[in-house]
Amino acid sequence: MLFDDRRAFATLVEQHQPTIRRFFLHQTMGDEMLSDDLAQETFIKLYYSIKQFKGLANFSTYLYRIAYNVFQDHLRRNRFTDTTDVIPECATSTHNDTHIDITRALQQLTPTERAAITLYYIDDRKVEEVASILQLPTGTIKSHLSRARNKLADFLKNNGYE
Amino acid sequence: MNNNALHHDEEKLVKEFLKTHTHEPRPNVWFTKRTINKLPEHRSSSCKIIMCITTFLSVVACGILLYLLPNDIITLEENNITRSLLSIYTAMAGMIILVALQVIRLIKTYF
Repeated sequence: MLFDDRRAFATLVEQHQPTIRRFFLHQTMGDEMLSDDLAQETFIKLYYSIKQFKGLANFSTYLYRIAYNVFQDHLRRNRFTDTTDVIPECATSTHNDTHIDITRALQQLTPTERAAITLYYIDDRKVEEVASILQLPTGTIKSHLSRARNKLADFLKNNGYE
Repeated sequence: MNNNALHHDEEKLVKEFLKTHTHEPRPNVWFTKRTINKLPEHRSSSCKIIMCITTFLSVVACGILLYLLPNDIITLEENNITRSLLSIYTAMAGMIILVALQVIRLIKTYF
């Protein structure tokens, strides 16, 4: 890709934006505006760093790694604002009950567990890919997945999803 | 129920729930356009080199002016002092503006 070719970059954004926006939608527990802002930040960071991409890893993994780092930065910036108990306004006002349920379910998890479970179950990635994106050892990812699975299973059983 | 079966059931329950209840972002036709608009202005590498050299030369020229002019002030008549001071202030202002512009560009590029 020509690095300053905006048309090529626009095609790349167009191609990957639905999955990146969906990733952020799960991390922010349904906050669409915030998800779109974070997704934009991800693509802008990609634009600056694309020259560093050597093609050794999967491009999608590389993009998700940037996205995860953007989300970590966002969490760090807002570390004094505890949003874990609050369902985002837009999630309650624009989505149906189904989405509120997944929002509540994801609220049971820590940000790392949420990222791991989203990548593993929703994006169908392998544990190794999840480990590469979250920059953690595969053993740690397996632990996070196991803990997250137990928490979600308990939540679902307690809410009649059996 | 043994541990494996329990684990399998939980896995199935979570997997099915997440697959069927996943958030899907609403189509946003403006997303790509907005993202592209936020990208930095395109400049070729030769343009960047010319800008750097011009800035460097301007700063050096302003520095030389600042160094040379104060020595002349003492020997000049009263009317010329004002003119010389104006030159100094202009050179200083020019230098400050150039440096400030470069700093702003650097901040915009990297932060």
